Amino acid sequence: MANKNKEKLVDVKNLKTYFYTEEGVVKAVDGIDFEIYPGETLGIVGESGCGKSVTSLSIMGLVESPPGKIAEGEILFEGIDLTKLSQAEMRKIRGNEISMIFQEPMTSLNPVYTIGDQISEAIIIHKGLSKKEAMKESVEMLKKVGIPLPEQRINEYPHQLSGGMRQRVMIAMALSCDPKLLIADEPTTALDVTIQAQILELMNSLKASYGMSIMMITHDLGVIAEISDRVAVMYAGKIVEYTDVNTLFADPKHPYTWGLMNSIPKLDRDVNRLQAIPGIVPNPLNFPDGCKFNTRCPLAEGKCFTDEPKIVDAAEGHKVRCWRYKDLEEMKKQNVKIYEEQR
Amino acid sequence: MSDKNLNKKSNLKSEGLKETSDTLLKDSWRKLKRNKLALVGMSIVILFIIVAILAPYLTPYDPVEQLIWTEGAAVKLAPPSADHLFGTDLYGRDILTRVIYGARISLQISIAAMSISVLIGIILGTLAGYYGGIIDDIISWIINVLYAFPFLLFVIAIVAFFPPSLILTFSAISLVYWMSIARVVRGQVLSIKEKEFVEAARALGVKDWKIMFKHILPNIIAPVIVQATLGMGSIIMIEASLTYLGFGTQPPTPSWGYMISAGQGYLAQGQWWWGVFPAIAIILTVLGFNLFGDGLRDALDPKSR
Amino acid sequence: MFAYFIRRTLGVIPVILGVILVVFILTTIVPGDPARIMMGQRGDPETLKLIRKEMGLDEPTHVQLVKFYKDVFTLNLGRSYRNNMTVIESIKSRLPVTATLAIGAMIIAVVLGVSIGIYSATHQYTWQDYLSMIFSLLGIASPVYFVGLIMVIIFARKLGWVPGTGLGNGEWIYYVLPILTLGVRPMALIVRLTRSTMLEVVHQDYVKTARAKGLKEKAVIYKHALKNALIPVITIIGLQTASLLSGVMLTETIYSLPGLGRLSIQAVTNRDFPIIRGVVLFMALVFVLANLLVDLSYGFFDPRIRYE
Repeated sequence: MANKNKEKLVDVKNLKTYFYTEEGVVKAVDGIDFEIYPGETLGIVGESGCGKSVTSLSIMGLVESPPGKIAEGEILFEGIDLTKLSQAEMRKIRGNEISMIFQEPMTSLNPVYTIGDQISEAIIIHKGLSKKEAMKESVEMLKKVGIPLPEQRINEYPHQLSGGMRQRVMIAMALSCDPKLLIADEPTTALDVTIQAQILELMNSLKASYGMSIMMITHDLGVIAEISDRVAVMYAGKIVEYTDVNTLFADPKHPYTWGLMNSIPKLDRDVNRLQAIPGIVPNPLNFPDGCKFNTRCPLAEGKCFTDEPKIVDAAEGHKVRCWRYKDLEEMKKQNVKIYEEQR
Repeated sequence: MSDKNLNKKSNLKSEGLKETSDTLLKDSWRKLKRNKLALVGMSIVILFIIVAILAPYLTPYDPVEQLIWTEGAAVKLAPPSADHLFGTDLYGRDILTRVIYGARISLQISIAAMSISVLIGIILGTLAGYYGGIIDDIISWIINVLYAFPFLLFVIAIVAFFPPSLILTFSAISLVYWMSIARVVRGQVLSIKEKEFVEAARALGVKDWKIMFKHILPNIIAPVIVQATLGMGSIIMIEASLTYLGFGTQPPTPSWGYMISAGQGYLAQGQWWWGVFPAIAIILTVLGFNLFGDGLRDALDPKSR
Repeated sequence: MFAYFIRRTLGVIPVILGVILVVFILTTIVPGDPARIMMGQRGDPETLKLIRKEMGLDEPTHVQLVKFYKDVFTLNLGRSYRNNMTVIESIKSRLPVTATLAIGAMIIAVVLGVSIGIYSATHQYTWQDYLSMIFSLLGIASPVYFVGLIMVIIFARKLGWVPGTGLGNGEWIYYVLPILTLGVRPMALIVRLTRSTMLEVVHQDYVKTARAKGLKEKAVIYKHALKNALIPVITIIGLQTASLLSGVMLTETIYSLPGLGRLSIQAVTNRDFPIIRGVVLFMALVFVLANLLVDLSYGFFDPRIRYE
């Protein structure tokens, strides 16, 4: 058991991150478990507001407090519980062993400092290099992420770069201290489709050469398919399905996942026939009783409205949180469309 | 027939706009109600206005009648008492009464000055923003030039050479205040004229003045109200400063600035009430308008949900 | 950077020309005959005529205007009606007092204002935050002369720490109260603005990025947030110059200090037109130049403008 624990790079156990607002307690993350092994990419997918970003901020120790707080649970990183570390200890890990890139490359870089300034900053504090050495190192990093003329670029300001270039800078910054884990929060959402593909490709190749793990947070199953080894699907602060990427796409067991799959266009299917999940994510201050997906789930009935399902092993290495996943299986076999088609 | 259709469409659009502005109003009121400081400010402003309007009914004394001639030295600089809640001044005038009537003068001048400023500001600001080009260049130039002068000195330089009067005071103030309204209006118009409904109206050949009146004006009202509310505080302050220096409202007309300047010599000797009460009145009133204006700005800003 | 510098500097020229024009209008539309005002009751028609001629008052307005522009650019602004000093001399002799006041007040306002504002923003909703908010709200709403009055009574009369009025022999201690008095309002404004922009800036993504790098909170606030938050504060500093100069007039009046503010009020009371023209012009130019400096310093603080 202890041995297996050591293997895991990250082991999140029953993590609960709550926000104590004037209107009430928002349970942004409400008891999630997952693990990340060295060298693998874990995808976390869900709609906005499902708690995936809060999960990443919890690992980074960057949940804004107040009003946010990790109410319960453990985040083991190489066996050390990050939730118990002091701010000073956490700072040694942040940007060094765990680093993060954000969604908006346009606003994630400080407009009043040069690219070189911003990349070398982390190198100086974590590697203890001089400013000059750090600048050299920054040039190397820019090269690695495929930015042309890096010697020139380090003296430029963020507004002089395109969105894709800025995201490359963010990646260079994040990887500058050779992290064991890279958390990427929707790194491609704000970019053009062609640039998206380039960035994902870059991340894949860098992952291989650095041997790091990636936690990829996205709402886009296409990105998941591109980059993940295993996937956790989140809904309303909980993980509803958790398995490896091939299994997930071949055999989704949660109606929510099923709905997400049907809402992405695929080449081998009539593009006009997308099935959308009706309704919206419930208000986190006012979650429904029972299964939290019951307001939108076409299969919801009786028990779904009274008791919350536990996450269970539906198959070897395939967890799902649904009372009716077996029924869904039947329906899939009979090719029943459970969501309405949209044209 | 296509013309008719287009007209219908543009009607639909402006109706949609009206609807959103209705919900915006409700939304704003809800936000304002949550903002306690803004509510405090609003209460002060309302109190100020009520006091100014009802002045004669609120006090048994006359603001200018000098009681020392009838009641003797007992009412000369008398400290606050049951008869005179804020005490009396050197001439036996009731200070509370003069503070109340001072509110009246203050309100008259500031509302008059603000109305003129808003009028000039909206007209010039809209013209500059809507037409751009040389018209904008000229109006912006005037604004930039007038901005360069220290407010107080400029107003003094205007009022000092004419026989003092209420009209002169508020005209001079509005002559230098309109540009802060014009600036806001110009900025708003610049952004609104790029919106689809204005472009659509233009494409349909609607006359410029009609576009400005019907489509642009309603959309700049909110920021103008905010700016005007905040500006009321500034104008009250300028009027008081002007009067304090002897260039504004002339005695014996009761005014806060004059009371402070007349009472300041007695402050250190312990007869503080002559100067302090009007000062508190100024501070409270300006504070009220500032808080209320800030609250309005936050409430009317569609960005801060 | 250089192009930006040049463009801004050139942009000031039409404003300066306008300022001169307004000063001219201001002192020409006045009712009454300047020559008569200058001579008072003693002038006989012959002398008045002579003076009018000497001052160019008998010329048409546009000729007078051109002459005025020429006078301004050759720094030939005439002499005071009262004491025959040239306008330039008068301004020069009064300037040190006003400059000391204004610059001192601005330094105090910026240094204290920004520090308190940052403290307030980083300690939001603590009693220190509330205290600084109350201070700044009252500071903005209080008339300068009342603040001065209260300060004199407390620190000069009651405590006797500093002199309350006049300049003595120009020792620094005489400047303490006037500078504080003048500084209260801009400081209050800067506290509020710094606090609110800091609160806005610390929620920006790049601040999150800085934290994610493992920077110390101090570095996050003082390096990454502050430089961004200072941009609007600098704007306010420029715009505050005008109201600071208005404040100077009031401050010099209550403390009886021989500065430009008092000079201008005396000139208005005495209808000393050359002095009025000179001082109003001077103050407006100071404002224009201060704002030019502010514009140029943007280039330093905000690279986006530099490369515009």
